[in-house]
Amino acid sequence: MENVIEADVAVVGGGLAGLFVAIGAAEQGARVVVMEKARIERSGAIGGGVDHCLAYLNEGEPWDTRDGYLAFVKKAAAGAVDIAVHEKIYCDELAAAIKRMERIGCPMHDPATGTYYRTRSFGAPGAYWINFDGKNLKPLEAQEARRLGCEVLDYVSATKLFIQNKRIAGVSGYNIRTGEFVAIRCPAVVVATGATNRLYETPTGMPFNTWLCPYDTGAAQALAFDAGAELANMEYVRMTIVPKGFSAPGLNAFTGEGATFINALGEPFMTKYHKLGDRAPRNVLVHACLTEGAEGRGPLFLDCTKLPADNLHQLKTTIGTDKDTLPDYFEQKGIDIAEEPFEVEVSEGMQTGPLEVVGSGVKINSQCMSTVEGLFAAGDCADQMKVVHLALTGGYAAGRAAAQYAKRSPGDVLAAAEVAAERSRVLAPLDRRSGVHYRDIEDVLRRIMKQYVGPMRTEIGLKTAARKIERLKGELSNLKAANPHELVRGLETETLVTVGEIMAKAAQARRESRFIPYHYRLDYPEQNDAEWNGQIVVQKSNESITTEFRPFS
Amino acid sequence: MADQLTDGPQIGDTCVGCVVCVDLCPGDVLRMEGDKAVVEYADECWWCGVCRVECPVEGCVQFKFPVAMMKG
Ligand SMILES: Cc1cc2nc3c(=O)[nH]c(=O)nc-3n(C[C@H](O)[C@H](O)[C@H](O)COP(=O)(O)OP(=O)(O)OC[C@H]3O[C@@H](n4cnc5c(N)ncnc54)[C@H](O)[C@@H]3O)c2cc1C
Ligand code: SF4
Ligand code: SF4
Repeated sequence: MENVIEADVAVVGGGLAGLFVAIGAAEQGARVVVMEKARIERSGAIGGGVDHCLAYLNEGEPWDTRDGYLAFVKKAAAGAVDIAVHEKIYCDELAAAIKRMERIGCPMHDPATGTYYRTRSFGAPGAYWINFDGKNLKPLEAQEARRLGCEVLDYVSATKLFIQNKRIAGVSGYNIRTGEFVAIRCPAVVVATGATNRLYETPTGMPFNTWLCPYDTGAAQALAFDAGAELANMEYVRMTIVPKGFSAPGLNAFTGEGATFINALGEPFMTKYHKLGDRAPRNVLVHACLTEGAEGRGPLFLDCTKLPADNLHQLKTTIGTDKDTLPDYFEQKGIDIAEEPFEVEVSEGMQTGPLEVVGSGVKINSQCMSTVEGLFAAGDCADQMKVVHLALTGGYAAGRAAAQYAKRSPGDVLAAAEVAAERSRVLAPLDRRSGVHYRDIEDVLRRIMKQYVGPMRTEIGLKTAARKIERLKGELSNLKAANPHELVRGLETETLVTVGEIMAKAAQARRESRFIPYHYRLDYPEQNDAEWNGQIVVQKSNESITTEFRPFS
Repeated sequence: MADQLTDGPQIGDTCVGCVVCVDLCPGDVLRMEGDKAVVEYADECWWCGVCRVECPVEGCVQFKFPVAMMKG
């Protein structure tokens, strides 16, 4: 068989989490191969920078302790978080993760004073968010992974996970630059390809104008599902609030520094919806904006004009740290945040965890292993990890666990015939003389998702979506690609369709509402903790999708 | 959507053709054309700014947002 690489641990996705996975596994002495569709130095959600990390630091207040933090998580993420897993992959790892950041050259404290700049937002009982300069976090992580001897396959998109005797046997990928098809044989694979974007129509109609990274298209979720792994928390459609016209992050910075939402009448309104007002959980902020709009009080604005000079200064100097081009956008639009409120809107939907402290995707245990032996998950694609803090802590933990597992497990044969069949399947769109362009399929998918699997859902709508997606799936076998670039976009379309269908099915199964509006069933509009305090678990069986409600034990 | 074809990242004449932006773009949006970088898939740009952050030539990469983002 050509192009088969041997490894102990393969990491699929060299993003924020994936590189900490690689570091964690390499420090255990494992032979690590990272498969990344772009270049690990700047790929994924934070390639352009990042600036907030959630942490409790034991600086004195009761909320600033492990117990205080866990009390917050239990309450905020009820029905979605597995506390035993959370303690293991976050609390037990946090102190070491903060030190590791310092060691690789990205300290989270102010190097001049040794103190942390901390802000409070998103329903937290205290100032859990450290504001730090993560402009170069990605290249620093990459440098450390390469220094530790990890082999990196840049420009390779994963296409399939191989199973033998119910265990992981390897993974395959396609190199967008060379057109080569490669396979890795290994006892352990850690998937870390992030959230699913490009799944919902965007407010501007530009599919790549998304809040999270549009090149993260749910590969881990779809590939793990196809390999038989369970997924969980897939019913939630995440949304945020963005500057009108530009789906850019920044809400945490704005609300953390004290910005106020106002409606078209100039009235602040968030305290009507939550006692924490503008510092309410993100889902509440989104719900409030949707409601103000629906009741005729839009357009809506964020007002920074009354902020104290220090907060305004912090905002103005750091707003480009994570979204590098946001300052350009404000400038070209003639917006000076100090002078006047700027218009905001609810973003597109996406598949990612409903809160900052809980994820959505491949269901993992406290060893970060999925229900398929040898398959691990980390970062935004795992049901118990999310955003920066869990990528730092859980990513490293997943790498360590995968390496330890690989030492115990001999691995399995990678069937040459299966790899060859996958190669033909992947390359077929290049040979088709006529067929469908990836974008045509995706545009239809995005409309279906927005219309039926968005913030207002009903049984009949969700069934309609599932039926339409089922029919749309047929078009995938007609995908045509003019070149390797389009081929990779087409691979992304395939995983988007799988994730979309799973979301529609999972949302049907939860007959209540939770994290409104992320799962808001118009036919079951109330949260019902007596019956639904647990996860909807999704799995593939006999080529169809089964769903099951499972409470936490 | 015609404006998206010309709007997006703008690579200036000062480009020295070092290929850094082409190699690091997370979305495979850029290409080399002769000894200059060009924007091949402007409508797939995510505005992450990586190309500008990494470009060794000050002021070479700039951004021009399309009407769809500016006027809505
Ligand atoms: C601009 C921005 C700013 C943010 N700021 C903050 C913040 O300040 N604080 C915070 O807590 N969170 C923040 N977030 C969220 C946070 O960055 C993400 O949750 C986090 O990066 C997730 O890490 P990840 O490794 O799961 O995903 P990513 O970092 O996106 O990595 C996924 C990787 O997988 C690769 N990949 C995808 N598909 C494939 C495939 N098929 N084969 C191979 N590779 C593949 C991608 O190229 C990418 O490198 C921000 C997000 C964005 C977009
Ligand atoms: S802004 Fe980002 S996505 Fe757009 S061309 Fe530059 S590097 Fe690529
Ligand atoms: S990084 Fe700058 S100089 Fe180098 S190729 Fe790109 S635009 Fe040209």
